[in-house]
Amino acid sequence: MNYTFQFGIALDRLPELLQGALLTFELGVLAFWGGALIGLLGASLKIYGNRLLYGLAQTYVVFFTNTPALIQIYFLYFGLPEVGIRWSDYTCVLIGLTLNAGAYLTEIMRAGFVSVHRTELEAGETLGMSRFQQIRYIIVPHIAKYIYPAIANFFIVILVMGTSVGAVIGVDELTGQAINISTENYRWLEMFMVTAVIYVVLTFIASISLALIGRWAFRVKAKIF
Amino acid sequence: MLRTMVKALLALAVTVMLFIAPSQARSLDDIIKEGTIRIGINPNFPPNSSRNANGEWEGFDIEIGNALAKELKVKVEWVPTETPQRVPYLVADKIDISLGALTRNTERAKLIDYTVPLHTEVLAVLTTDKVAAKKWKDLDTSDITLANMRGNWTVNWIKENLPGPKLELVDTIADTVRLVGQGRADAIVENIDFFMAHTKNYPDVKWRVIDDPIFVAYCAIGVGKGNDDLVEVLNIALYSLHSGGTVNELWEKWYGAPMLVKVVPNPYF
Repeated sequence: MNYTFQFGIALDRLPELLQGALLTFELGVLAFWGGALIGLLGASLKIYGNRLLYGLAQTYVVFFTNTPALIQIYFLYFGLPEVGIRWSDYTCVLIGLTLNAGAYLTEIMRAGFVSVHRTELEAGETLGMSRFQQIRYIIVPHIAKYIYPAIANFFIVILVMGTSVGAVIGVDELTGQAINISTENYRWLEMFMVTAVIYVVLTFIASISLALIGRWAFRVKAKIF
Repeated sequence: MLRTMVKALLALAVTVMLFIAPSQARSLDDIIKEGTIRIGINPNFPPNSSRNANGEWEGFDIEIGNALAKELKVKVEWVPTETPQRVPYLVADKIDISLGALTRNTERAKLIDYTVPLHTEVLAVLTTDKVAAKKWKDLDTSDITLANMRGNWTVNWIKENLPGPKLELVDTIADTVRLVGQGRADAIVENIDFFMAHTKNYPDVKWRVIDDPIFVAYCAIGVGKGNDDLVEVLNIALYSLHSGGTVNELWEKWYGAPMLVKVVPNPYF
């Protein structure tokens, strides 16, 4: 082996990497919650909507789950200016990831909706629950418990894999920062190894937070590891 | 939980080491024995290297690569390497030599070896009629955005010498020109020879080159650290390509103009 690893050089730049990690986390969280709202709407349309609304939601899901997020974001950044819409790099990544997440979360949430048994709602009615009470005490807890693991996994996917696409169009998130710094010190291997560890730590933090939220809010028996 | 975490991190570290541990560069003997040289070229860098309408590689680097392979009597395996991948690919022995206008500098020379220069590049400013700057120093204001590529040495040069402007970093030469063409950025401070071909995609933009060149750098062929036999053979081959006029002819053929500053062939290296 001709190469001598020099991790000191990479670790000196930790503050800048952590700055990137913070942006990664921010993008991941915002895109996830934005996507969750879209997902809720999309799932409702697919379950309760008429044929037209169902078709709209279905087209959206098929388009966004069958094309890479990289291409979607690239189109928002470099394609839209050709028709006069010029969003910042950050906006393009955020909107792209949100739309992408929304499509996947539509399907995940739809699965939750259809998992509620008719009999459970009838039982609620028998007990004299109002529509709101049925949603509050039967549907939401049921859906949350049923789709919690899928949603939590998806958050990690968005956080770790989704956000790094930003590096391609000028967003200095964790991967972008790692490339920027490597350009200066040429210690690509060390930089990316340190970056990989930061991603793992980010994922750990996200898993633990999600498990705690799940246990506290939805009484899901979420295992951390 | 801590134990699980430590285990996971260890597993990750081992995996990473296994996959990306740099290996010994392939020797000249290996290359000749296997009959193929792996040449790294930029996949989207006309007129240096790009695919033509038939999907075949063409350009200045391609002809130089073929000429070198002919000297070695081996076949070429083209390996597309984007700008930031050139040095890592050499370090990881994914390519034997790197073309792609690899500028000589001391930081890179600590990780890879170079041959004698192949061509020069002149650092200058490409902008549009919307920017009034007459000298490159005029760009040093905060209302200017400069387009460039991640992994490019000029990014650091700009940070040191033009600290004022904002930087927007993308992936390829095509995207860098697109940033200015679409009005996201105002100018490109780079070796602008390489960017001119892409300006044709934006015929409505009034492109202009600021008549104030910054400096001349030398691009050489990158070779894996310690691969001295290969460097020696390439240096001799390059000497004949330079002194016979092939390099300058190919440059004029592909760039449509002579190299702004020519490489002076030197038989002693």
